[in-house]
Amino acid sequence: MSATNKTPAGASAPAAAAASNVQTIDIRVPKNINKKLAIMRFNGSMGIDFVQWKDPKMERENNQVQFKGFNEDMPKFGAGSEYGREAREEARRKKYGIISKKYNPENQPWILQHGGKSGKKFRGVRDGGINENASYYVFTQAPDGVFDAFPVQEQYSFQAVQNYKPLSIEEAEEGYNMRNKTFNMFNVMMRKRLRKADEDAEEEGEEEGEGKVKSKKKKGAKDSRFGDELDDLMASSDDDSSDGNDDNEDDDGESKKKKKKGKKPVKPKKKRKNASDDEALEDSDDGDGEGRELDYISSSDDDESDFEKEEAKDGLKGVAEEDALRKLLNSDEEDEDEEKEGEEDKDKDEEDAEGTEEQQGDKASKDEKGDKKKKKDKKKNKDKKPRSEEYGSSSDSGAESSASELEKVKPSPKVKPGSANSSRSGTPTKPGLSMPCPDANLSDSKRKGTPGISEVLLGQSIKKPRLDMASASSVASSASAASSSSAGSEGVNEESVRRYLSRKPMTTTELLQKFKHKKTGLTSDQLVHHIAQILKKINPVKQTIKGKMYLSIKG
Amino acid sequence: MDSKKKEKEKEKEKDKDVIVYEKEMDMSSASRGVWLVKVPKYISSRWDKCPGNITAGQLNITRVQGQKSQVKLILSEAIMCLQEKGEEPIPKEHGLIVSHITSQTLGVFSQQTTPASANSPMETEKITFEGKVAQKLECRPTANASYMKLKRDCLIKAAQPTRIVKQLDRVVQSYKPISDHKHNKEFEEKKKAEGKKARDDKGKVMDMLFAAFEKHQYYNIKDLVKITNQPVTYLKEILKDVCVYNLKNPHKNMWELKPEYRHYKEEDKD
Repeated sequence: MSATNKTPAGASAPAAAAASNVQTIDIRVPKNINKKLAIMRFNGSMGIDFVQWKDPKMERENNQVQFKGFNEDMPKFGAGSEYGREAREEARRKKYGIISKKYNPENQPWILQHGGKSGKKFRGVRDGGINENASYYVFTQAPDGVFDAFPVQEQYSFQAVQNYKPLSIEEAEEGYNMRNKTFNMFNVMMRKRLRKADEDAEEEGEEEGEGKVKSKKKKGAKDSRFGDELDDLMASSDDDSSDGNDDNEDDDGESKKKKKKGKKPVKPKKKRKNASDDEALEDSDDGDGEGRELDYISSSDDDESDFEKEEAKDGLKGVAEEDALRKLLNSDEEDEDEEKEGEEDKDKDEEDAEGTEEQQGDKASKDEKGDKKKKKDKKKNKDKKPRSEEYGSSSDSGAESSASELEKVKPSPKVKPGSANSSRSGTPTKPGLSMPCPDANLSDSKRKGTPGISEVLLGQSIKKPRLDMASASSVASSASAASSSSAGSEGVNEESVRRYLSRKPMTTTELLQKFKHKKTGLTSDQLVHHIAQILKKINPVKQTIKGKMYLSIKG
Repeated sequence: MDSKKKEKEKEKEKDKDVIVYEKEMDMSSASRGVWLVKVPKYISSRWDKCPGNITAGQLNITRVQGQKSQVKLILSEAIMCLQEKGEEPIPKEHGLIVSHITSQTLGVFSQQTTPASANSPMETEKITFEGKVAQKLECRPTANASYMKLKRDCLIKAAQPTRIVKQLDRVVQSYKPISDHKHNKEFEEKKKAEGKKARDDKGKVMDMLFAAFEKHQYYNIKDLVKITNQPVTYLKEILKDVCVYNLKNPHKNMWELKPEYRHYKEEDKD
């Protein structure tokens, strides 16, 4: 408003002083009954500029139809109409105390539209009570400079009317479903970028199943990853083998997947697969898995363990048979002592086979014996170790590992033809050899270090005392030997795990690290399985601190 | 007869209601800035009373360099003299506090009704945009003794209950028996003045009836008596010839034309 800047013509008192300029403007209150002023209020954020409005149209909203509401299917004139019906109805309603209000078009909200049909539309609703405790006047400047004061009657607050149709429930539902899609569009881009980065590193088919993933898991040799796996094994206590664990992953919440995704950037393949799962699956809702048939966990557990046992037995039996076969083949050249030893060995093997079933219980006691014996037999054990490890792991770990172990068992005997184990000495590859092949020995020595070489060099002579020792130790020694072999790598047993856990709570990764430093000779994969088995047996107290699961045993 | 009156009133109202609303808003003064001034009720009541052609007050705008300009509202002597008996004198000077409107946009529009005239037979209402509110001013009186007295009186007045308890020393008879009520007397007089309903020519009555039935399909006997102004018995005789009496509910106790006499346009649709 520029009124303050103007010098009105009707102003009586001119400027008085130089510093303070006093200006007087007269006010009139014109009386015009027919003119009613009202304020239209818009929100400042709407960016209203009245000057830019083009042919604005404003009218009262027509709510006549809504107002009527009832008894309006009757025609007012002509066929079907009753004379004086409305008056009668009104009288009837009055009798019941219903006094109907008259429809007053003046009381309806304003509809304001500017910029033609496609322009903006506003709805102005009356703000009540502005004139309750005070009055508002609008001062406008008349041509002669005097201010005209018009009283404000009403105030309407205008709101923009949306000119698009809102979604129906079905459409909204559809849109809601699309929500995932849009989210995944972003994901797709991310994955594309990742894929490009990993393209040269790995080129594998997309359509390979869980088995592939698992095998890949084995291939990788990162400790943190194995720790995760262990965590998983521990977390999902119901599944016995890693197989079950893998199956469960799909059923488990997405959070787990995400966790995995986040933790393992090394495995893009797996990630990809998971992501594609995400795409296909809806968000899990309540009752999503209701219809699904679920096996009872316990029963499946039993089945699995039975299967495992059987397989373990088979595997071991196979070894035994092999031994027997070898014995047959070797019998001609071996000494009687050696034969005895062979028998002993066979006994051992048989014991092992039985042991697998009872191992869980017996192992601890046997281990104790084994520990005692260990010091004594340290030398002996050293060269025995690889074999015994294999036994231990094969008997301890799950079905698949035992199967894989079997394959490894075969080549290993090649390695120690001169060792105390007659069964091993007589490998099918070198049935009649008393002196080992040099290149085989070379490889052997590489693997085992010096003792192997000394063995090779000394040949039979070194064998003898050992055999003596073995025979002297008799049944106890054989049992202990068996136990030591079945206990697996001497360090990795229940006892040691218990010891570690009772000292202080540690994560699985830390636990792994402990055993890692010991020269157990197990591959990290086997170690993981081994420890997982032990942990399951011990069932330590789990507590999560800072997002990590710490295991401990209360002393 | 009452209903007739009502009808007439209604028609009158309808005529009154017929106002041509002009949708188009006159935006000729869209760029004009106006002031919105909030004044106390006592000023507005005086301004309402004063005639439109006199000066109702003065705005004193004092501008000091480097300071906000101060605005004062000084009521004219004429307004000050408009004091009624028992009313407190109101302060003459008020400070106006200027505030700018930030979070909202305020516009002012007016509805001006022009009564029916020769060139426009019906009343028209026109909407004019009066301008955009540039500044908001709030009237604030100087808190002196007279103003305080005014406010105190105001408060006391407002605190006065509109209904007060009064103890009565004897029974007050609010309802007194009347031998004949006023509206009864009126009715009797009217009836007497009209005299007895005379039987008209049958054809004439039938014309009237047909005209009535053209407007509506169903009539109550009372209404027909009013319309035709015939004795009930005579009317019934005629009705029996051309009409049927409905005994069942949608239009119970009502007369309608026999099917052979009807020719409603809307009925063809059905």
